[in-house]
Amino acid sequence: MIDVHSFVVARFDRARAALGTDVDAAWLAALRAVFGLTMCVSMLRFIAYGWIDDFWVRPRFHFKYWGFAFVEPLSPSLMHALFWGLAALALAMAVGFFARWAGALFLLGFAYVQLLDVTTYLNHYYLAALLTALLVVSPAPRVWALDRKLGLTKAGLARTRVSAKWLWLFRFQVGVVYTYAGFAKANADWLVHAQPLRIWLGSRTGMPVLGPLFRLEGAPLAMSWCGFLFDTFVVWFLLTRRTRPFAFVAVVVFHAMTRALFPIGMFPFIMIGAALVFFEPSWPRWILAKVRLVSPRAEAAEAAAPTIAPRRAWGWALAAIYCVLQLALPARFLAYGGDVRWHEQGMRWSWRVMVREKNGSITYVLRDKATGRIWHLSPRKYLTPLQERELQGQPDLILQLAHHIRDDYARRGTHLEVRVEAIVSLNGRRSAPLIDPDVDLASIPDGIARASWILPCPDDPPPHIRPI
Amino acid sequence: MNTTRRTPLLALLVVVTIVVTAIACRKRTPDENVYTRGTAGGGTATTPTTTPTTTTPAPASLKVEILKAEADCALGRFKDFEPKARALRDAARAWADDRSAAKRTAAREAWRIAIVSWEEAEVFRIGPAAAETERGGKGLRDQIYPFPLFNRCEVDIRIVNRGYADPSFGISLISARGLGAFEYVAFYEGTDNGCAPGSAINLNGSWAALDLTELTKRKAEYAAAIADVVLARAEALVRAWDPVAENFHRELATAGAGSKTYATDQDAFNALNFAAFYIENEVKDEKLGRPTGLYDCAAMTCPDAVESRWARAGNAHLKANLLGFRRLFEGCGTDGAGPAFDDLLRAVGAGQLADRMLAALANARATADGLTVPFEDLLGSDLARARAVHAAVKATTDLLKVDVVTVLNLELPMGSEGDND
Repeated sequence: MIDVHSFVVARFDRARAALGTDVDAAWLAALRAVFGLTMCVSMLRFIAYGWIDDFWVRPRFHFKYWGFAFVEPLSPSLMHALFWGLAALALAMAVGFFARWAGALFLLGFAYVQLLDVTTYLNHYYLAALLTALLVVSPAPRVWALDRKLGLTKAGLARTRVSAKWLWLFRFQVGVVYTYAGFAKANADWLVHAQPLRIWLGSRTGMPVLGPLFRLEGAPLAMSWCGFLFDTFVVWFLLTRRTRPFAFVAVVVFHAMTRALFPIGMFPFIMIGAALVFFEPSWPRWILAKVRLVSPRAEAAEAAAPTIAPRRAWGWALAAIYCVLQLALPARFLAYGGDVRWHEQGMRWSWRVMVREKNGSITYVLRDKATGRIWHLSPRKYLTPLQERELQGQPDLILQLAHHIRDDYARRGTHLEVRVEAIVSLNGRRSAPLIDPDVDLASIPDGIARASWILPCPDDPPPHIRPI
Repeated sequence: MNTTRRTPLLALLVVVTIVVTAIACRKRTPDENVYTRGTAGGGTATTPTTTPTTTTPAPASLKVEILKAEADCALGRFKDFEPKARALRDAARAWADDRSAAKRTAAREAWRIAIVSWEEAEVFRIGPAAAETERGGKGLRDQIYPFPLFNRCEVDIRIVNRGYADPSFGISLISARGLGAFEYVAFYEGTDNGCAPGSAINLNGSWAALDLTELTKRKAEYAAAIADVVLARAEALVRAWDPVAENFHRELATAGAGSKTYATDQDAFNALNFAAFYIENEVKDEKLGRPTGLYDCAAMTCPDAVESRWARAGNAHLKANLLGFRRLFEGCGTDGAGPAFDDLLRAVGAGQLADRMLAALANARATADGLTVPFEDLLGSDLARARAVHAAVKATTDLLKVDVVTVLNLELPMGSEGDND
């Protein structure tokens, strides 16, 4: 018989004891380096692929985050310069060259870029911003820092040990991402109908090696369940010493697979790098010793003079609030009811990674209030192809563009009613209207309240697509 | 000891998994659907899904068969057009040499025959026919018929300065040549021009200096020059596809299995899907939406936007476009026989979607076939009927770009995309 009470008490005591200790700071330096380099590459990709122009220079209209309508792009040359600057700052953060300033400025610039247009939102950009913020406020900038090696900062500020709370805070952050990503897959589409994986695999049967496997009848369902179980539980296996190496191998294999199958950019690299926080804090020293990049004598000298970052009670209170927010934000969809993948209220900042395949046909139906004339307007009149693609399944963006159309015509003296024919398919279901075509969106205020103008999600199951 | 300590944790994980799964996968009760504004658009949301009741294993070679059939079809359409382009060239030259009414009528008739063939063929805007920015693209479609690009004033300027006789005419502005420009010079008999009163040809009197005889002569010469270029491009297109020449046919037919253009079969299906969007962009929006005042038109109607308004042949073009799309989507043979997208849909288990798509297409074709008066006349006499054609085509394109694209995970013709997650 399991004594639940004593089990819980024992776990709580263990957790409290673990949080109260100090740990080697090597893990934090490694995280900073790996993450900084990843972000540097990420910024260079924006430059190399021409995305700066595609995302922020070329569009004539930008979708704003609620409350951030004032954020506007810089001139094209400054936008390009910003990304070069962000790449340099990420590199500085990686090597520990005035890393706190570099990280803070990187965060500022990256957040600015993200706030420019909602259509560029990605979960991994959000994660990157969170990890940068944590690294900036943590002792990471003072661990194994280049500026210290060069004598540019006071040696006394260097840290060799940090409170274990930092380690657990980062583990918590990574754990939240995986676990909520797992919870997001706990639905009938994913677990019973293997959608949208069936659809995605169906277009990848031509892949070398793996492609033929996707044609097997049970493959999509098996992969769906593997994905669900992996996301939901991998953190627990990473936390357990005996299963950790296997779990990390699973992390690498899983993310390598997703990288091969889907265009998810740097996300796999960020997650593999972030998962290193689950190893023993001294793992970088172990690696460096193995490859003989540090001498045992230097190691001993550093260990003999441990320095630890000061503890601040208010700081940990803020950390607790941060943790509560991280738990609450992805769960806010519960307040809206319905299917979040359909109405998308509560979709962002919720780690709902790769859980829906959505396509739509959006036609704005405009009515001149003065003359009664009715005509259609395609979103592409205002949007770039990428923006139009993102608009199709996101009602708040459809509303925002409706307001822009209303205002644009009003400036020219035409006052409009703006309705929309939005036909959308979710995970292969028969397409259905997403938005009430009778509602004049021009009269609907933007906001975060429950949107009554969004129609219910079709309750039929998605189709059983057979990859061939 | 460790086993005993881990038992509660493992048990908890298993229980959490079961509970979460059970809760998540249950069917929602109606009162949980907080969005209660009636049914979603006429009940379409609650109608049966495309889930098949029977499952017939698809042959592994189906995708290959479809791609080969599409390649055959495209080549067949381009080969059908080539001799008609040659006949057009011959008729235009004859008219340029002898500007009799009979020769002009013959040239016009040759144009009518050629363009109907082309309107069917150009739905296969893939590979060399596609824009140069696309895989294997050579921009040959736009060289033959760049609709909706047409600039009447540019044509009139070339009539004045005899730009059509310039050796570089074949690489000049596409909006002043191609089958659209041919139609204008062959069918329009007015003596006015399409340039603004303040333009050079009107200010300096060079247009006014052309009497009717000279104007007709130059138009005939212009038509011959256009027909020369059109034939050259038609030959280039056939050559590009022909298995005994440049063999783009092989590139499409062997996608994912040796093709240098399409690394995977999905790439080839994406390219075909881009081509299919012809009926969304050119047909639904440009040929139907704009004239009927529904799309990009500042008035109740825009008759100037009607395709082929000088020859008054827009209806025939529309029907040919829809027939071409049928060949691409349903099959190239008579009555849609042969492997195509609908067979792919059935093979992956979306047979009902294939049926709905074919029904929508049949309805669009029937609505277009029912047009008994020229489209430009319909705008004034029965706008509702003209808009009904637009609605019928839109029903087809909505299914194409939403349901079909989703089920087959096809890319949309939207240019570069960033990362995803």
